[in-house]
Amino acid sequence: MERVSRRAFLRGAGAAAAAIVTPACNRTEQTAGRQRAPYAFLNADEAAFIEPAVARLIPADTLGPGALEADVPAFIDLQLAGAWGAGERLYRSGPWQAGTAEQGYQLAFTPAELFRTALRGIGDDLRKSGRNGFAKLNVQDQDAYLKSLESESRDLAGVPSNIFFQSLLEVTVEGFFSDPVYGGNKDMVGWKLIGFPGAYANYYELVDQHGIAFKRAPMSLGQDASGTIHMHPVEPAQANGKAK
Amino acid sequence: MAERKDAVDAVLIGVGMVGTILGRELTRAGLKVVGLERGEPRYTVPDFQGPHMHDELRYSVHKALMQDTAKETLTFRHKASDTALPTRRLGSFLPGTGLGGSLVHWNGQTYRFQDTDFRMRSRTVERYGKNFLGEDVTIQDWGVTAADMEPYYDRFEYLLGVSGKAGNIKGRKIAGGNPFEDPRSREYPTRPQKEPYGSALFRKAAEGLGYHPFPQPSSNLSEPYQNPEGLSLKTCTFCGFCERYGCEHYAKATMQTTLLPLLLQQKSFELRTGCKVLRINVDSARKTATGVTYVNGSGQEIEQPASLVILGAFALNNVHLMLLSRIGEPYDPSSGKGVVGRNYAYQTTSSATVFFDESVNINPFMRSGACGTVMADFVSDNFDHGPLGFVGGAYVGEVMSHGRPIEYHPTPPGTPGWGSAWKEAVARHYNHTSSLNVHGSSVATRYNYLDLDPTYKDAWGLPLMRMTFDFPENDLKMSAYVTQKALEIAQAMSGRQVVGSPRKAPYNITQYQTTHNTGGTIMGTDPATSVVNRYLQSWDVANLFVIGASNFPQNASYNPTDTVGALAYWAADAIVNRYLKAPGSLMPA
Amino acid sequence: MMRLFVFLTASLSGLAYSAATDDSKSGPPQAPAAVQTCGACHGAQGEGNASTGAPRIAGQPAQYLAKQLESYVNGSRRNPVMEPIAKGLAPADRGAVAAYYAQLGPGAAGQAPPTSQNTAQKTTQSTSQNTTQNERGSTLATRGDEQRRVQGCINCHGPGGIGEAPGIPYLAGLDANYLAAALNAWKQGTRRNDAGQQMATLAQALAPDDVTAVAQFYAALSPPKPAASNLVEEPQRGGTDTSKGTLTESAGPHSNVGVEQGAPTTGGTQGPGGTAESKVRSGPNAPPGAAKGAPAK
Repeated sequence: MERVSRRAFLRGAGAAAAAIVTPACNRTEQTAGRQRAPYAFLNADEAAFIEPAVARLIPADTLGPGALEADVPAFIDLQLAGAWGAGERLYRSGPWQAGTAEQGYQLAFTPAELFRTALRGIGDDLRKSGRNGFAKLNVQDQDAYLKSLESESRDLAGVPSNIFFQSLLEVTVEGFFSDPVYGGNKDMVGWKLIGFPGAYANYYELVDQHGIAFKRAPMSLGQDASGTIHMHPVEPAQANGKAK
Repeated sequence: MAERKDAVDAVLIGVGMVGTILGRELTRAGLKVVGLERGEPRYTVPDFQGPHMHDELRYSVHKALMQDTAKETLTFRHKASDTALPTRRLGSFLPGTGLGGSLVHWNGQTYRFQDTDFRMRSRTVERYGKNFLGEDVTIQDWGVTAADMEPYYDRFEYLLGVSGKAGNIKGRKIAGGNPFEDPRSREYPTRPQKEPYGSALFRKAAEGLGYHPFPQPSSNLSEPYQNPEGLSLKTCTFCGFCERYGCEHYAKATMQTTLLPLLLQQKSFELRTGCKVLRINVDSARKTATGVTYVNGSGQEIEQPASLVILGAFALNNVHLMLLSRIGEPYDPSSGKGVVGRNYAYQTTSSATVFFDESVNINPFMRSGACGTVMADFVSDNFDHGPLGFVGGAYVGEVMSHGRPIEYHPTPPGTPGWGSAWKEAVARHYNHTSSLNVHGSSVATRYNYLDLDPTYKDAWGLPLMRMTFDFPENDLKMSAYVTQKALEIAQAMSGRQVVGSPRKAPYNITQYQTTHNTGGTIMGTDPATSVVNRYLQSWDVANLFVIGASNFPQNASYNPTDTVGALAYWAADAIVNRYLKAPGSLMPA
Repeated sequence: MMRLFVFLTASLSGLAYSAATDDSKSGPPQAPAAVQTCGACHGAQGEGNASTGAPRIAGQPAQYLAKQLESYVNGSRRNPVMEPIAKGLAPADRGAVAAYYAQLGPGAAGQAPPTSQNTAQKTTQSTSQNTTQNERGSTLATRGDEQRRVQGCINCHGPGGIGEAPGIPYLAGLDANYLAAALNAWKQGTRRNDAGQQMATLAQALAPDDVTAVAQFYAALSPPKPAASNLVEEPQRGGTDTSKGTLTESAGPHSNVGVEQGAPTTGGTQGPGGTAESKVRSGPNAPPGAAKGAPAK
């Protein structure tokens, strides 16, 4: 058997561990030792923000796994690479004018463009203040930085930071609670946290048993008879992110 | 050059609830009918089957069954002095698309309006005097009464198989039903649905305070049922994937489950999907419709001549098409003249949330779209408004319809938006929280209206419709009053904490409230203040009937669907039994 | 078809059996005495017996098994063998046997039971007939039939027919004749214990060939691992606050907690609580005083 370099071995093992096959793309170094599929959209710098950021938004704690353990970065990546990221169902005609908050989103960015632009802006923003990347901050500083993005309207290369933050928080919650077929909510940890039984749902006999504690394990719409969850295949709407 | 099809007797713009009902009635009367539906065909098998249907991300968050806002949306502003901007993503309301229309993915909440709603202006003046209404409030009588509508409500409810308990049969009050309802001719077709836990807690609290709760009438059926058309429905399983989703069980009353298969079997009916109607064509005198022009899926423009045009494309689309076709004078708020787009109204909602002790398992995922318990003590004119200074009202009830986690993870005020404290609060409260819905009326004012946007266009190059709307002062007062009542009931539900507040201005189009948009082609007895007469026939073009919630002169406390269904049968009756025998205006000026 | 008719003397001396817990912790469970009666027809490991027609019961949800015994007692399910047996069991013992069988595995005895007529059917039918029937069975199981207005079995009976605890049984690996007999019992009304009459209305809509096809489809699958026990617990009575709940009038950005057809949303764009509206601040692309909402879904 020919000798395999460690790097090639890891890459091979990573690909085998994933249920999806994506076109070759750079992998972030920030895997904390876990085998994970290559990202379809996020480049290494972007992943280096997204991964620790979601870990602060929904942390692992005594209640159980958090967004990072639930593979929410993979969910976000696939969403950005897919139709939603490309602007499905977004009215994209100009002119783009500023309005009131109640009139809703009026920027020209698609979600993928919004994230790409804002993440670049965050990189610049951190460098300007002498910090060398979000991942290298301690958790208190990470929380403080996220709070500043949330509550201010800082300019992130053209994206107001509060708009980016709200989008990031929304996709993080979606990634934590959506069906695992989309790549997040790994092992249904989000559903287990709250007791949501998932996609198979027939409660006619139980609805009038008021107050019962219902403890069936959650079920994914993608699971087969043995419990293996088959994720949706990746169909990126556009070419993957540039290799770093 | 547009292709011209052979003429037919009637063309339907939209094959949703209205289109299916009218198509069935007109083919039954011997007409040759073409139905044009902009969306795609879909059926219970295979399109609504599980498990793929139970996908919250796809259907609730990404709104897969709704109108594609990339192609068409509307612009919105609060008042005429603002600039209207496109609603780039759907939020506050979710217009559907596709065969069977929004009935595919509705919640099934099925209520009749009251006589005090149909005759809101005259009953208000009668009871409270001429000066009770503010000058800017432009509510009107509909031109029909509850007694006029009763047989048509009955027919529609028996088509659907609605599950409920009558409160008034021919004047006799029945315990367990709604004591405030107007007389109905007979009991509901099926018995009420099972009552979930949170709703039972509400009912006990409301009864304890002297109110009159009753089971919410539901079009998710409590038992198997065969309707008068011979189609059968099954029992709802309380799966918690109702609104925004198709029903896999044949338990939700939709056109697919109650009527459409029969229409599709008629040789005299032709369905064309993927066909977007651009305008209703009229002759040079602009008094007779000659048919419609539409674009098919590949972009080809086609003309369909017809002797009768039925516009039933959902309230907002009805108004839009009338404006684009230049039928009827558009409303101008500064002069007060014109009718098309006038009296746009919405729904005024709020809530009261009860956070319970951890020992109380609410199980919010065990729900149907229209289960639960409500009370009508503060609906419409069921209470004395004299000292209160507003008109209208709201029903209050515990009618939670799901526990889908992306949309529903309640936390008390003061909980941070993210982090461990948020996570802890979500885990603590998800299964131990109940919410009361306060679902209130919406008066029409001279300032809230619909017209065409001067700047933005849809994918077909046509102007988007522009919505100018904010909550009228009257409705904010109403919401404050009834929400307070709801909070009192919530406090009596033995929770640990109660949270809630009334609806406040400004109206936020990004936050989902209801898809109960009404007005713009309102019905009435005077062509100066309405677009269609009491038979829903256009005053201007006698062979055009416009049917939908766009007919409502203002919106009532209850959900609109039952009333739209009744209006569809009412109009069909007028067309088949009067218009077809003597075409022309059914209400000559 | 039942050929044996077993007479019982149910002598239950009150051997108490606690409800099955996670058997990986407590070792092999103790079988209640009544199990001997069941085993005579249903097999030593609850694997069923095609020649007697007694179905596999190992691994079915306890709540479902207990309900079937209740149904034999109250007449909503008719069977000349099971009725006296069920009536001869005390209610506590019905629960005990149900709990016992619920935690038995599919091949606990190491023997795959013969799946009765399956093998016979395959040798007597032609290949093309078999394929058509297989397709029909698979279609009914996973998609349903619009003409007959029946939904896919999968909606309630789960992926691969593994069931949906606590109330809905697995179908995978049950004897084809038994499954067909069950569907026919729904059709004929000799079994009336289905929640909301789902099975009766569905079975009545199926043609005889459909019944055969779907029964064959599920019979060919492997039975699942045991259903987890204790899935439904009675509500706790303690701890409920009887005093009036503290009223918190929420002002500010939380005040417009929307209600989406009854269930509250927790934010302006249906995001998590706490971020209902973004603060109005000018950004570089906004004229002073204006702000832009976030890209809602």
